[in-house]
Amino acid sequence: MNRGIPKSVGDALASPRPAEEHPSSDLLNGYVEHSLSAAEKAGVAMHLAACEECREVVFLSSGATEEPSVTAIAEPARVWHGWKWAVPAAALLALASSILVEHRERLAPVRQAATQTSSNQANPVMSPGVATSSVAERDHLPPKPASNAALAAKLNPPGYQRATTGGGKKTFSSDQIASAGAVAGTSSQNRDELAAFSNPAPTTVPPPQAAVPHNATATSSAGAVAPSPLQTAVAQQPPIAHTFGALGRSGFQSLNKSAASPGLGGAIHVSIAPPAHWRITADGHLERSAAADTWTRVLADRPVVFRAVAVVLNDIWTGGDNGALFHSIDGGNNWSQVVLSADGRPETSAVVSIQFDDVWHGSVATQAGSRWTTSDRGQTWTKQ
Amino acid sequence: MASAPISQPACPQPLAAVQAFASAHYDESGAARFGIDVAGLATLLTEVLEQRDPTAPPAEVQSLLAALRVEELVLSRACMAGHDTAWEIFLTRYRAPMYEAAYKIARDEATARVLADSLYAELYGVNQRGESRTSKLHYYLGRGSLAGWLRTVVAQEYVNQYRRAKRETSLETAIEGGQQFPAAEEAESPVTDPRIAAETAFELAALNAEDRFLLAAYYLDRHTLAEIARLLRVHESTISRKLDRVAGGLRKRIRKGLIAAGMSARQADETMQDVDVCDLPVNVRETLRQGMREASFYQEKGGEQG
Repeated sequence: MNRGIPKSVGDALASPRPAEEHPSSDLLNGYVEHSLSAAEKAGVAMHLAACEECREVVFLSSGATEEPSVTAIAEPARVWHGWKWAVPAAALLALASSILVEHRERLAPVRQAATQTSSNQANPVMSPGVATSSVAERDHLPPKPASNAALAAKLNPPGYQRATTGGGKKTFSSDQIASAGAVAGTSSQNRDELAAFSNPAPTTVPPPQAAVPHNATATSSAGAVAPSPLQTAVAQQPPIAHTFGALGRSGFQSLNKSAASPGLGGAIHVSIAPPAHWRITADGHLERSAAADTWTRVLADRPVVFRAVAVVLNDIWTGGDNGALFHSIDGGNNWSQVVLSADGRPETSAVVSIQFDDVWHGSVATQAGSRWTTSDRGQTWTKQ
Repeated sequence: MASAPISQPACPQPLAAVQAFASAHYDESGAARFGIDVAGLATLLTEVLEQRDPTAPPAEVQSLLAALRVEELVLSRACMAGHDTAWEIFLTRYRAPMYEAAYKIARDEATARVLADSLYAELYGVNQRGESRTSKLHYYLGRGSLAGWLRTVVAQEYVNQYRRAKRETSLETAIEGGQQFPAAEEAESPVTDPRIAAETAFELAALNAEDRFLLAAYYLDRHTLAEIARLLRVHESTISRKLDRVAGGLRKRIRKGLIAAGMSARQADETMQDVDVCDLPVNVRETLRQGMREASFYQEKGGEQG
């Protein structure tokens, strides 16, 4: 708590200042941006202490500072937010998986008997109804990065991991959870999302050179929804990234339990909201779909005929006529326009293709045949 | 606000250090795209250094150069020279941020547009009557970013406009606008002991400039801790602690000085008119009224300052 100042101090501070020239706008800006030398800073501060007008100028200027742009986003903060959601998400997943496997265990003798009678011992070493599909499906999952194991270890309490190797208490490792998802008859999409829960490494924002799963969808080559001369395309956000994005926004509301397929005898089925899809309509509008057959127009206020859209994690890139290029770093909620220019000449040809290998590295092709590349998440572009 | 008259460049001879710097940083400066060669860049830098500090010893030139925003400086000078490409780049980069800054400062779209437009005219080097004159970009000397400089200029223009409008408002308009005027203050003000004024002035002068600025920003202008923290790029709690320390220390030293000057402790406390923090705003406003004839900008904008 500030105790205040004596009245006499207020009087002295507010007393008319001696007539002196105001610091230049360059000096005031240097003070705001902390780019002055020590001597200059002291001089400006001395003036500011006595000059109400200049104080107001520096506070107005400081307050009008641009909102953090793409470059100013603190990546560690994103990591932290991811973890905030990842921990409860992992806990929920563990709970759901435990229930799921508990059911499976309870039904195992019944199903084993059924299997033995129907299969005529075609596969005697196979564990009942489980191993074939789970292992096979698991083999198709992308290999886990080394860092994932460490992250999974952080997410899983020590007892959790010990039990997976030592047996006894019914707890399960990440892989088992993934396989349990497969066993439970979830769709492959849901299985990926289960794997994402049990394997949350992709939520960490990688360093610029780190290999991020190459999920960027080149616009024209992605699965087209409505064929059009404007290269209508649909881009789908990667399931893992979207899973956490959706959980972050909806507070796990999308995580619900429902009766599973009959084959599982009412096992718990974890279903997650589908990932957002992106497309460009035949008439050049950018649209997003968070639910089936529900498309919302995005950037509708921009007089641009869009021709390309690409998605990598939460980064959305879209472009169109007259070299228009837009970038969103939060899954399409906020957008910033990116100007492609070289030697002072902005790109005027239509953007017809966007390809990103990861959030940092990507390229844009224009109708005129020029190609622009970036390796810093679109901060700077090089024409090739 | 008064500003220094624009001085015509005297085309001083570049120092060797400047020439070396120009050669080393020619490519990154982007001067080539505006038709400026290395020698031209060296001359430009020399002019800027002259503008910034004509008395700077050659030993300091190197550090001054190292801190320059060369690319933006070259762009601004190319714009001043009327280079089309430079203006294209300038508009592409700064048009939208400038309007955005104007809007954030004025908090009113119409005012923001007027602000930004008038600034554009000055940047082009044409005043509102269409008379040609030197571009305002001449004042940009590369200490900070060009975008930040533009924000500062917009803020300056806004404060100027506000004060001009304030002066031009007639008494009738003010009354119609619902403005009320306080009764004339009584002629006799409480007689203050000259010792406290002297002691206060002494102790305030002993504070460093930054601490005085902090006190003025918080207690006089009533900026919030968050605003001050944002400007000084520290955490709010740091500002709060510093204010506590500075104000508390100041109070103690003044009291000690008064006692040393012959007052009793009780008399010193009474003379200082110790204020509770809850009463402080009232006292500060009174103080501001005493210090200035016209209403303070902050009082007028008090609602916005929050």
